[in-house]
Amino acid sequence: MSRKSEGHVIVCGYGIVGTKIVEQLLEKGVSFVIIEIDSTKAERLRGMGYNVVLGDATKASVLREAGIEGAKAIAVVLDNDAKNLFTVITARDMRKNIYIATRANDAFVKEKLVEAGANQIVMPQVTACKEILKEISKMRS
Amino acid sequence: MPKVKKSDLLENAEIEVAKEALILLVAIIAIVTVISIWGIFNISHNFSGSVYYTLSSLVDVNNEGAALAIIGAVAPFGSAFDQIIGIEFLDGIVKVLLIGFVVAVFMNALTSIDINSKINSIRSSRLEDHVILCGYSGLGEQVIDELYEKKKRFVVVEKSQTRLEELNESGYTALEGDFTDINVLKKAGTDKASAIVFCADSDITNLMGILAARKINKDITIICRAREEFSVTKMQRAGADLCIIPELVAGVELGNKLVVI
Repeated sequence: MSRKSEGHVIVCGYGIVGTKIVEQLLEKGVSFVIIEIDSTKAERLRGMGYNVVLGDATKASVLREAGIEGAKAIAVVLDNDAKNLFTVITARDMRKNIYIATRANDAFVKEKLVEAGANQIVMPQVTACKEILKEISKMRS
Repeated sequence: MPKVKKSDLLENAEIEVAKEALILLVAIIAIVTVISIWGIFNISHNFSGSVYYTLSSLVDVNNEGAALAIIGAVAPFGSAFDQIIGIEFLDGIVKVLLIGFVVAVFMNALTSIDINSKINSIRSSRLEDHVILCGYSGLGEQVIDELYEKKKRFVVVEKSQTRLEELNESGYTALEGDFTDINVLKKAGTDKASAIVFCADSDITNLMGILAARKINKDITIICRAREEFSVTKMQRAGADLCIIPELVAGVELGNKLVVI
């Protein structure tokens, strides 16, 4: 079913970041496919009625199964920077014009992800830090 | 308790070095004394006189006195310039060594006092209306950099010795200690601070910190980093004003963009 879909978003990794993304996609009614490596998690997600591909997102075959040919965007939010980088490279190789969003923990990895072709990179610590500083300045004024 | 053992070992090593230096110093003084006595005796053929003048020049810090002593010993027996120069030279070596040894011991005593922690506790006790950052993790580092850039006053509470050294090298005010301990938080000035940020990796540790901080100061703004979503309500109940899950914030940011593409 996922192979036929067009204009959907692929979410690689259903961790905290992935969960939040899926929540928003559901809210706005955007169709999506989740790639998850953990079979019990994948089974649970299927039970919830989501499109799920069980497998390693760093592999081109898995991305193809998730319908990367027809997807408009891919969110690469796996649990480690190296895997994210690898997946971004693979995805960019397969599709020149797909929107790639990803996360990085390290500033050094962020540069690499840009080179690899990521369109949007979020660093959880930087974002969290901004929120903290906002709260501190708010209280000062 | 491995830390205590390590510092003990270090102190032992320092004592060993000091002992060796002392033995070396005594040996050099003894050799120089013997040579000096022998030298003067060769000229004067007066043993008690040469011992007297050698010792008096050794003990005498004033160079003039030493010169006079040598001249006094030598003059009656005819001048022997070469010998005088030799003795003066040896005498000088002893004095330089002696002064060097005293200075080294003094410097060693100075450096062994932990100046950093003293300065830091004085600095933090003077702070008011500042931000306290507990836990120098990745996020903590980010927050510190931002605070520093915005010229806000802050103090860091950290347990790890190596991270403390890093902080001291960067010139930040850092206190050693466990931030779940009320006394440590008091030392950081929680009663006068305007905000406290808990950035430790463990939710439970952060929660304990929140409880301690709220107990000291009712009005302080408490910001806390959380790992799990279910920790957030617990932290808020404990008195946190803002709880942040970095991954969750990142997910929202990514999602916001993905839904409009």
